[in-house]
Amino acid sequence: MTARLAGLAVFAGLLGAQVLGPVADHVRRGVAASEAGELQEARRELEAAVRAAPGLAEAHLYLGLVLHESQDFAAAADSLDRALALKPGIPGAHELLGYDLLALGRAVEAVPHLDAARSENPGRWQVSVWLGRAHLEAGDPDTALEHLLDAQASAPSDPELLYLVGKAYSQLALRSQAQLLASASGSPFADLATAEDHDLNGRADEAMAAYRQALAGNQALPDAWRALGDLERDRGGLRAAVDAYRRALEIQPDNGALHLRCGEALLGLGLASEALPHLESAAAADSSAAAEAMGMALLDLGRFEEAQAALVSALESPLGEQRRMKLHYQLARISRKLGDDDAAREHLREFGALRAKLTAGDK
Amino acid sequence: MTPRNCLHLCIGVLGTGLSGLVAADLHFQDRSGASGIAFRHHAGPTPQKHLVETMGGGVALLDIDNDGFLDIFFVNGGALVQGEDGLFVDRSGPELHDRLYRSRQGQAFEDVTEQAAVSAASRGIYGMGAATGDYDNDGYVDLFVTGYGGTILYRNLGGLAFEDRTEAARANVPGWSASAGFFDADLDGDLDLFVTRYLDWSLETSRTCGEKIPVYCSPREYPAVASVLLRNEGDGTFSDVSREWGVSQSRGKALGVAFNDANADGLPDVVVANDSTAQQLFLNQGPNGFSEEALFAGLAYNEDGGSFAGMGVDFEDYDNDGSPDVVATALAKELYPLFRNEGAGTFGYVTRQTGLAEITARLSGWSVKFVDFNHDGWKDLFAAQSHVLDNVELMEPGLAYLQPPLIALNRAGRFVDIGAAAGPVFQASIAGRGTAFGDLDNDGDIDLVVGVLDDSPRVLYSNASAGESHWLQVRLVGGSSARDGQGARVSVRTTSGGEQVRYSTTAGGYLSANDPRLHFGLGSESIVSKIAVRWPSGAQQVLEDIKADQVITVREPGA
Repeated sequence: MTARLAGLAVFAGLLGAQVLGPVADHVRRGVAASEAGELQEARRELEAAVRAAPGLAEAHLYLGLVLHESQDFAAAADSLDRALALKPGIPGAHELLGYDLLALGRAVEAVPHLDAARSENPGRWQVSVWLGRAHLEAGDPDTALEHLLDAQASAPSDPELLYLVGKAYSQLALRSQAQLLASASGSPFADLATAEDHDLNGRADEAMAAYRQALAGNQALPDAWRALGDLERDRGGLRAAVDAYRRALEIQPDNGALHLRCGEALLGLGLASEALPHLESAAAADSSAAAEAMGMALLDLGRFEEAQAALVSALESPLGEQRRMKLHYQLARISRKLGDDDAAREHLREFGALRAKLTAGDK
Repeated sequence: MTPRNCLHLCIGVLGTGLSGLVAADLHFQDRSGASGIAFRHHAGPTPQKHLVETMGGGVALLDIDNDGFLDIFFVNGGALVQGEDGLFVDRSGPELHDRLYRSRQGQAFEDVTEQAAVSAASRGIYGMGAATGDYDNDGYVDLFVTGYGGTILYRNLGGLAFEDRTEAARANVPGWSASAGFFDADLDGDLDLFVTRYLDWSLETSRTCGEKIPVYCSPREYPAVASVLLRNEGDGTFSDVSREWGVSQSRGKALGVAFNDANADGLPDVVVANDSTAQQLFLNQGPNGFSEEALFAGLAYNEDGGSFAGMGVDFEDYDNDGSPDVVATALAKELYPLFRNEGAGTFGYVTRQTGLAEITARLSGWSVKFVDFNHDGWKDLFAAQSHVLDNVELMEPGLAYLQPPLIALNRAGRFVDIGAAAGPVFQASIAGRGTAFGDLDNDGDIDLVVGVLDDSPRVLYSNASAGESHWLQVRLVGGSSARDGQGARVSVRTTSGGEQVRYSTTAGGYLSANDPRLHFGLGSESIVSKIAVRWPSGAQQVLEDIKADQVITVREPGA
């Protein structure tokens, strides 16, 4: 959203302004040219109006708007500044000037004008977005987030707004991390923050080293054990992953997500009987992933009817096509085990249809 | 819990009756330098990264002169040269030839390529793999070579001489063929030939993939093709029966092939490893040919119902329950799939349960084989390894292109990686591809010849027979069955009651052909109480109270 629509509204609001003689002619021709998209002509007429009546705030405002439309933000800001000097509070000038200053990278100067514009027109959520952006650029993510969340109440899925909200949170996180590193360098939490930064950026080796460093300072960090387990799991170290998840579970024994991770890793090691209690604990949290993993563990243990029930229950949850495909494939296997070849073929038919859809791009 | 349910779970407790086994402290010695083998594989890598460059090549172990020692045949790649009419395969230089080495009592080898006339110098084929079998039942093993641009059938004339019979025998398979194997599909007493084909790809349609970094294209970029089944007409010629026998109706991107009897009906079945498409199980329907049944049998996909990059494949009984199981190699993050035969021709994916998930999560494999390396009565696992992309480190920093081979001992159905203790070769990273398995020095244990892409092969001798464990090898001579006994099922029972089964085939693995003798580890058992042979002809034969530590020749009645 640019200030163009807002600018046109300002034009409309000023049509009734008292403008005299030749100045009025310049202004009328300037407005007409602007509306026809002939911005050069509009600029000439309005500059003539300003020369003829330098004390007329509206003429400066008109010129500022045309310069703004021409994306000559520096000149526009000068005209709008003059308009406000001549007539403080002239409608529309603060919004335009705030926007133009923002475009010029002068975020600190833009803030008071956008604040004024917001007071002038509290229903325009776009002004709150620009305010948020201005505060972000001015290095004040706390205030930025207030304005952005205020705008989000009116426009919950505006892409630019979502981007800016994310950016504000990110700046807050970075600031917090910087404070942590500055004030508590060498503490386990500082190591944890460093580890998570490496982890987020895909530097697995460095992340693991930092998590271990954090845990060397404080064993009671379940997030560090969990993250370490995840990294071990992703590199195929399932045994080390299980060890890490078990350490996390010592601290948070009822954490369903940890039980699920631990159960899945044990299942990956082929240790179904050890996995099962963890998966049962995870299933208590009503997770379809837990039901699916429990079905696989029961299948490994030869408890086919129970495995079938668990996988059917997982299949009844809202799932993506990839997981539905896997469940039908496993249910076919169980049906074969149970001697129900018809059901097996039906599951394989469903499996085949999903697989064909998911691999449609392959030659 | 039913007995069948218990079988897999309880196997570690019950064992197979092979009590008191003495496992050798297994170690392999790399004797490549002293072997006299000067062969070096030439892949001919180009900046354009033509897919064929990263896929070869194979190795065959075969006793060409019946002197009792295994000789070695290496398949070379070639050079991809830009000519006036486009790219072509150049095999003219001696460094680009296939090579045959004759064994000197198993300790050293001499190059007899020119004498045997098996160099493929004039064929313009980019070589891939080799298959062995006595297709004309004359008592001399013959040789089939696959590749991009055609195939070659060499008939062994005896006296170190081979004759190119490709055209006369109608044995040329066009396109890009990979692994192949001889087997008696119709049980008529002569060996037929199954030839896998990889992709509908040519030098003309080849392209480079990768947006910023050139990489070998995924097989998903090229259409699938059907493999080929050639029926031996018994008069020295073959006929393409792929359509009549139900093979060409199922397309794939085939690289590996192995034979065994999946459903105990006495008929040889075929497992095909496919790269990124469903695996195939061609069940032999007797006079009706073959029916592709991998999906219903549970062999087509991994546990998640996903395809994997099937490269090499083996089809043997790893858990000593008497039914053949299937193992394949795949790419890093896919795990090497192991399918346990649950009876009646259906399979369960047991990669996790057997420890292979833990071992193979970041490995990429090619040739793979179940062999009882340490003579404890359980078939262990070997895989030649390397990623397919020679610059995978640039795309995925956690992965490696070159990798050491894998050797994992079978501990009553669960695998344990022993690479760290089995010799320096298992710590050295190479681009392993085809591998042939056999007893090079006739000392009773199984040695390896590992083909290495664009490099020299590794000739690895096992020390297993130096330990206190015992072994037995069975050499088969068919009568009404195929002369070299391929397709026979041999079970060995020891005095303590343990039983092992092997299927006679030189196929399996990747692009390679193996020792035709059947090898059994016996642990501390010095007497085999019973050997039972079920010949492809249907004849049954039993031998009793056989001393261990020998190669016993079993002749089919009437042979």
